[in-house]
Amino acid sequence: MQAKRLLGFLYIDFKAWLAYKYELFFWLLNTVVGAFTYAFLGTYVTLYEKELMVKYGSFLSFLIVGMAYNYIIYTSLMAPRMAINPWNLMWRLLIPAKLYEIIIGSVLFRYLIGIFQFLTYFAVATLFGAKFNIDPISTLTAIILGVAVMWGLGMISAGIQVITKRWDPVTWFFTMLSGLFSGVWFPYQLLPEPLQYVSLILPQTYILEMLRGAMLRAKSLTLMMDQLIPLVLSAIITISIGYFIYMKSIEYAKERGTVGEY
Amino acid sequence: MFDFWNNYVALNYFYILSFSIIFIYRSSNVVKVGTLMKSSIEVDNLKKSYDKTRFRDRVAMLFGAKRTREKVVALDGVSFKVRKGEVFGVLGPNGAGKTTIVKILTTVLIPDSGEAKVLGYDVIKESLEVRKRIGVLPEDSRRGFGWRLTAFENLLFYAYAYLLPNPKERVKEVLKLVELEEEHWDKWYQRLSQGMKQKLALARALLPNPSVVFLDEPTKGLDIMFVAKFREMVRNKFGDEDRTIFLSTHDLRLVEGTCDRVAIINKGKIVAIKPVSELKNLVPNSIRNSYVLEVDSKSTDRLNDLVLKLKELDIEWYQVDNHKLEFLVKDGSLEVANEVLKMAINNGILVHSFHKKEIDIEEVIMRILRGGKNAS
Ligand SMILES: Nc1ncnc2c1ncn2[C@@H]1O[C@H](COP(=O)(O)OP(=O)(O)O)[C@@H](O)[C@H]1O
Ligand SMILES: [Mg+2]
Repeated sequence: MQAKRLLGFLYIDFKAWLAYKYELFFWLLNTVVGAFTYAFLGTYVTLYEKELMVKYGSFLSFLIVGMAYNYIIYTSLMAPRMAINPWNLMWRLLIPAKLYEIIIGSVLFRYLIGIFQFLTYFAVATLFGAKFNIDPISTLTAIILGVAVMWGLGMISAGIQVITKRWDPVTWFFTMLSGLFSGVWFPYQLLPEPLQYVSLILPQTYILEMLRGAMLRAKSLTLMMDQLIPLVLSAIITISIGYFIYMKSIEYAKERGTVGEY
Repeated sequence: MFDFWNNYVALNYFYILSFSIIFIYRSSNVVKVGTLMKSSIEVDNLKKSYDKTRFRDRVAMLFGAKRTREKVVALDGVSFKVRKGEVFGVLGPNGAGKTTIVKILTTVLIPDSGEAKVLGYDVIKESLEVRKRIGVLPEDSRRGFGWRLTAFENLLFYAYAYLLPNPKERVKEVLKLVELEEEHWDKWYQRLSQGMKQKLALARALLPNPSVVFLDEPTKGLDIMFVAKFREMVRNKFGDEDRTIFLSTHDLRLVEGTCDRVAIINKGKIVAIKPVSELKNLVPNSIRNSYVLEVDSKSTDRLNDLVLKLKELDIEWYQVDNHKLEFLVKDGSLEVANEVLKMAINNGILVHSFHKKEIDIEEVIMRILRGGKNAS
């Protein structure tokens, strides 16, 4: 991995980001206003839903962890697709770099933004009195496993899209349903019983459950095997399938001459 | 006194010297295989057809439906070699397969069969090694540029991506080389004119100081002033004698006077590979030169009468266009041509001019493309 090359990617993404001055301003505003909105909402709900507080400390803390990490989950799901956007793909393939360098370079900046947003949410929530009780090792494990699983799914979905040149249903399935079923906004246990099965097939459910355990109740890994094992397994499965499909799709595009096609 | 000892030392020096010479010679052979190599591009029986079967039909076929695959043959067995330091042109009409060749050689398209090597590296198996050594100006040269990044920033990214030692200095160097004025360096890419965009793409191709440069329709959008300059730049290989230039174009004038050799390609097949100056020899001698007789506008009627009498002479072909007669004489005989002139004067035609017309290169190419096999 060449640091200088990654620097080049960071440089253009940063410059392009700065070039959209208005968008930049409103993005910052959105982040801050969003953080406050969640903070107010969280505080309010906490006052009335004492039951929830038993498990999660406060609804505010619960909500903030979900919102903050949701962006990183989403970025990870979209990252493999961003890396092979048709406008740039041919030139990305012409640079004397390994494919993984190109992919990582293309998405690095997004993660920096995600981390910034993550931290803003925590800062504002802390201001509103949210309490966190963090186990660093489990937190890091949860974050990394979450990114890994979503990357796997993202590669599958991007691969399908390159081959079919159509909008793929995979992303839709995992983004569209996650808001309702995976417990970003409220514990999925509040859903009617049959619907909870949908939650159980979404990896986000496990990721958020594990992250909340790690950040709100300082649970160690040994206490979270129910989440850890499914996540490790799905990471292994989605990444191996995803990598295979992704590489095949690029090869396929190189064979059909559709590298630059939308 | 030159005793034994002195001789012994001298002899040893001699041995050491000769061993070092042999060693240096050998090691230079081993290390510099690349520079000893004569061809920088080798293409052997390359074939490529594009599969145009629609996605819907493919899926149907997966489930057993009987449909045939729609294929477009883009390259039908292409072979050639380009020498190191050569300016090599590929000339052909639209859809001939030029871009397909460029894409394969620059590693972004995989051929169906055949072999292609750039600087000794296989374009499929050693594509990274190839990419380290080439510069590319692709047909759609706008790709890969950020619209809201300046000209300078865009190139700086590529300088980082190519891991160049002094990125900023190098970017300035190439921008000057392609004559993009400094006032445009800080303009957003989307605000540059088409010609400036093309110059920027050329700068990107030259950025890593590559051993082989691929130029696909490079003059698109450039003004005539810069095209003249560009031809000059191609001719001296952008300042490096050892650089190989691979130029693909449909524009004959670009090839003339810049390329050492041209391959003429039509419908995926190479019809001829020749130095530009020798292309004319591909057309049979007898039809190479015609004569043109131009007469006064008052004499056009009489010219039409004259044409009827031409049958008596050894005329192979003629064509009358208002007050101009163009004709071909068997073996290009000047005597027979003069007979025509005499006849014209005797018939009271007022002659303006009479001259031999050299067949121009454009016509040669047209004939080669039309003729197909007989010219090779
Ligand atoms: N991705 C593609 N899918 C299907 N047909 C293609 C594709 N790319 C090129 N072709 C066809 O292949 C032939 C050769 O194209 P190309 O190499 O671009 O020609 P040139 O550059 O000489 O104009 C043309 O008939 C073109 O329509
Ligand atoms: Mg072309």
